[in-house]
Amino acid sequence: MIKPQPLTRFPLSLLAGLIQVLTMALVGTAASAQTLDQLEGRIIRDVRISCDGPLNQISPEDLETLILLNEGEVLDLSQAHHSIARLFATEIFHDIQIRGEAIGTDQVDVTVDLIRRFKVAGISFSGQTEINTNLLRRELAFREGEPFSNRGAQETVRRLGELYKRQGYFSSQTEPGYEVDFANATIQINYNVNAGPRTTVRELDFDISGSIRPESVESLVKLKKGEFYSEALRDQDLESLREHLALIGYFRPEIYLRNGIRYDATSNSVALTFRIVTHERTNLEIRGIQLQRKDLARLPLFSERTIGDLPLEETANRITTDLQSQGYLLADVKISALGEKRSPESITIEVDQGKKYELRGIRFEGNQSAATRNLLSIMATQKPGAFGKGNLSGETMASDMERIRFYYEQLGFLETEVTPRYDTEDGKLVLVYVINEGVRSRVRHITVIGNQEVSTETILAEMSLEPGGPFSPYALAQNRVNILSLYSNLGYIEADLDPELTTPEPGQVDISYRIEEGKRYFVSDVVVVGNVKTRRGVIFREILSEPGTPYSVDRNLRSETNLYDLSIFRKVNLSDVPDHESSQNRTLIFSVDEARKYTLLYGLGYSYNFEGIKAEGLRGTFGMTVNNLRGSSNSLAFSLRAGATRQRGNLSYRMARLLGRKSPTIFSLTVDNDERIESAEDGVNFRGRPYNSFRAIASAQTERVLSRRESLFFRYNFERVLLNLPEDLDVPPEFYREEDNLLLSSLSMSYLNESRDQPADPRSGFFVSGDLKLASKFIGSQEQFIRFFAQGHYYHPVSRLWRELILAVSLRLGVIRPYGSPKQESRDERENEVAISERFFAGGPTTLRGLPLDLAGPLLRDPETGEVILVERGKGKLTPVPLGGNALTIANAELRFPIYRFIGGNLFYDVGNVFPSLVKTGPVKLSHAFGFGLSINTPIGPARIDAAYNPNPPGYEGYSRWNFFLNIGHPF
Amino acid sequence: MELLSQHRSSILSGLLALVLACGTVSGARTQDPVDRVAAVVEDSIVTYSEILWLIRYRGFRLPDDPAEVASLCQEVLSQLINQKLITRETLRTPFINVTDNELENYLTLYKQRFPGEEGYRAKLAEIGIGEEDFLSMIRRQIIVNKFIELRFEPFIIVLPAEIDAYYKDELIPELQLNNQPVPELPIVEETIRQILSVRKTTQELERWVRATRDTARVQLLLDREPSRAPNLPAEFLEESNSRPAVPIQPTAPQ
Repeated sequence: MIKPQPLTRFPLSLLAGLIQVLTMALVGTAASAQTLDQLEGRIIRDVRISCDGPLNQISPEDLETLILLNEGEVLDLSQAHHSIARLFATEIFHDIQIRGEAIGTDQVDVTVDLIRRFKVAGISFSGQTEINTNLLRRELAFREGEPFSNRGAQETVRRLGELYKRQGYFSSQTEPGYEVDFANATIQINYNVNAGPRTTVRELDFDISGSIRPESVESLVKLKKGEFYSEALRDQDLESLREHLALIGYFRPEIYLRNGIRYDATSNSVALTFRIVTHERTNLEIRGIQLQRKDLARLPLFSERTIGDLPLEETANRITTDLQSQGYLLADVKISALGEKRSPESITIEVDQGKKYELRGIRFEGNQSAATRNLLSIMATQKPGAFGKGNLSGETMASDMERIRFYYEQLGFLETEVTPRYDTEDGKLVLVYVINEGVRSRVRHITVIGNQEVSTETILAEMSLEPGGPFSPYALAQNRVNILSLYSNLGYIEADLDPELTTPEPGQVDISYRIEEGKRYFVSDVVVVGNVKTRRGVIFREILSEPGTPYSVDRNLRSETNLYDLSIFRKVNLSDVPDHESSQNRTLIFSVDEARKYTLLYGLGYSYNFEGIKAEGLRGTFGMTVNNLRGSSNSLAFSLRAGATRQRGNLSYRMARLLGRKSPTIFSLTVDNDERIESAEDGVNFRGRPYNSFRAIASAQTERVLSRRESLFFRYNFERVLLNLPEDLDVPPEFYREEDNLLLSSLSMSYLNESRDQPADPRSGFFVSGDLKLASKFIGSQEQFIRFFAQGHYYHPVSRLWRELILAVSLRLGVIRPYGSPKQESRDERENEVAISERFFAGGPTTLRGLPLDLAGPLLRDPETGEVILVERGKGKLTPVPLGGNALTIANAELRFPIYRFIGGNLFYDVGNVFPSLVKTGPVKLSHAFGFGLSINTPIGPARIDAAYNPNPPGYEGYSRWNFFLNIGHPF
Repeated sequence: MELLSQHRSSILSGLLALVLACGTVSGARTQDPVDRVAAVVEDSIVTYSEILWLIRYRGFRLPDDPAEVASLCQEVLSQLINQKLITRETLRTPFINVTDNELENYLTLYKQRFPGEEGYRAKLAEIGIGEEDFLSMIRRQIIVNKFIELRFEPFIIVLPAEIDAYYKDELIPELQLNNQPVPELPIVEETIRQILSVRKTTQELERWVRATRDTARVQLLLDREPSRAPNLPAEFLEESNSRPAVPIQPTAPQ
């Protein structure tokens, strides 16, 4: 029999379950009660960091530097807050959370959860885009390297839709596609575009209120029924209508599209109605001058289409200025309006041109403290000359007077007055500026107040103003900048400086600098983020700011520059965050964006020689550079060039530093085969240097950067040179030494100063280089010589009125001096001990254009008769054989000018030659050439066709008075 | 004994459950948030700690109801976001700044509430904030006040008709409702002017804040678990969230 269980007697298992449930409930409550209050103040037992994926962009050391929570320290909310702020400032993380787990009664385990910020790796467009990719890219809401956001992606879709509508594609569709790289936290975006068919104009009509007829405006609009619509055409039509109405006296019309653009999706077309309300018309009368419609349209009254005192005054000034620039220097223009100011009934422009003058010159009176030539050099007004027709006008005169006053201010004359006057001489106008210099102000005392951390002597050393010297407001402002810069580099980035001036006596100024130094800031830590491949040490050695040092704006900027100079980063950004204990301690965060690892170089070219001589023909170039090798900032490159006559291969290794010093160094191996001379059925084809060569070169070069523009190079070269000639080239056998292969070992030093504004097509600045080379048997060379070559190019705009007229001059000098005894007796019979491959050659499109390629200087002669030897070079033509020389002198002068858009011209003069030696010129004389040419600007530089005339060429076959050259790039 | 043996299995399972429950108690030591990013405002952030500081600074006590806590935090967060937007705006106007003297004066006035320096320090400890952060918080508040003074107040005009309308439509009914005597208009005119001025300034400020928020990049993260919602396309979120977290190994101790 089963005894009934009392209701109060629960099964123990059920009781156990109940206990469990109740305990869980208690636990839940306990957990919710375990608030931040209970975690604060506990000792941190452990700090764990976790991330949503691999963290490549910051090292663990830098991560720990940013997190201020450390084991054994008290959990402080302030430290947690600043840790999050510092981590967020790296721009690597999208979200950061710090959690705590209570351990025992007084400890806490801390976990830092990091969520990476996904960045845009690349953006591309595909599909039926119809629009240039550059225009599409302008509508992007974010760029490569920036953080991705859904909002930005959708905003881009919206903007692209608007762009396509403006271009006349109303039915376009854009769909973004994504490729997410979770390992590197990047996203590749592709916008697939279907532009659809272009929208046409379904209806086009005019709704006009006023006394103009539709026929008079229909011809002005470019939009036509049945043709394509675009916003650009719409805007152009609206502008054309406004301009036309203004010219016929309607200055305040309303012109717009009534009901906007009415688009019909079914027919993909728009209906447009131009609504024109003319309002009142203003009669316009012009007296004393004939103005073309295009001239009227330029006047402010018509271009701005408003009437009022200001547009009328500006219109009068514009007409006056135009007349003055044409020589009507005393022109007077009056404009009057009759009726309401904003809507007059008539406007009358009365012009009195006056007599036409030519500006003879500019003179100054009363300039005792400033030289006339100095004042002339700063004038905006220019008299007519060879390169311009002059530009005298009221505006230039106002500018002249302002410039004169400013010039005098720098000399200490603060109250200079300038009054213009016209004199006439021989019917021409002389502009005279009468200068009342006033009293010259000088500095009497300079005092510095408020400086506690920086001595007065140090501050005064930064000033250009000094007691007894002239006072200048410009120098005062410049001194302020210098002093604040001094303070900012000592960590006082909030320093402020207030100069107070007093004039105890006329002509004397006391300056008092009141300095508020402010707080001093220090660098507490330096952190680098974004370096996935680059080693941390490589970056840190370029950073000049160190923990514990004063915060210096200059050091920070130079650090950024140093990192850019490594050429391995696309972008370098510096930010700083304050420490939690003191805002005066800043952690610097250098954020870098690494450049692509591989760079490919490839190209094709073709050259043809119109004389039938073998040219290089088709040639190809291919190269690859591996940047930032193993994160070291070094790079490895190889390149190959192959053509019919020349092949070249190069392998080089580039280091940013050598032995810890900042000296870019390159080690390279080069193989160069030049076979410009070859046998052909009808003889030998060659032009220029009379040898083929094969070179194998090993070199090492290091650079010492002197400044942003100047460098010194030190190089060691070891090369093996093999010279050869086809056997049927009819030159005497003693032309070449028995040793036709050479071992050359040389040391050289070069100086370079690159100060041109743009090397490919310079308009100002200069370029100077010098190279000194020593080949010696002590370093393994078979030949011994010293070779020096220097060149200087200078570029300057000729006229301030025509700044595109450029004068370019160049000078090149070279000398080779052999030394030591020759090895072979047979060498005594030759004129030149230096191997032919090392001599100077000149002649051709980049040196002396009055001579053919390489045919300047000594020629091969019969040793007995002294006659120049001519050899056949194919197609029945003869040519002398150039020997090169040990001395080179070339001087060039060119005038380069634009002709039309991308076409330019030049006039030039070349003089110089190659000589056997510096002291022995022999029968060689200076060669002269005058010429002209055309150039066409191309993306790879100017393409030039030059024609040179040599009045006195050597009288041998192969030379001519006229020489023509086609070349890419300027000769210098 | 017999009873014990009969219920041994139940006892054992109960004990086991109790042990499990205790184990569950220890295993249920969840990780509570210490601090996190609450919102991103353009290029800066508002953290949870800043919300707590402001709540504590104003003397509020956190409600017991979690829903009310969340609501309070959201409200304070909104205020902090507005402060950030205003601070960004003031960067463009160099004459809206806070000098060290102004900060010092405010701090002196604030410290007068406490019995000495110790009282002040204790208050900071109670808020859980360091002095640098406290000064930053005060500086932001002063900048907001100055911004309002310079940007809105000079352009606020209270018309006589508005004063009149307030007097008739708001003040009189309220006083009558409370059985209070109604003063003559000239007596209260200036007070009404100030009230309306503040009201209008507030309206302008709210309008400005709304317009600025519409164009500014503001992301609210407080109400969600750390996730990548705004930073990844929606179709990749599940995959991203399913990926395991990667522990970052610390460097070896020096």
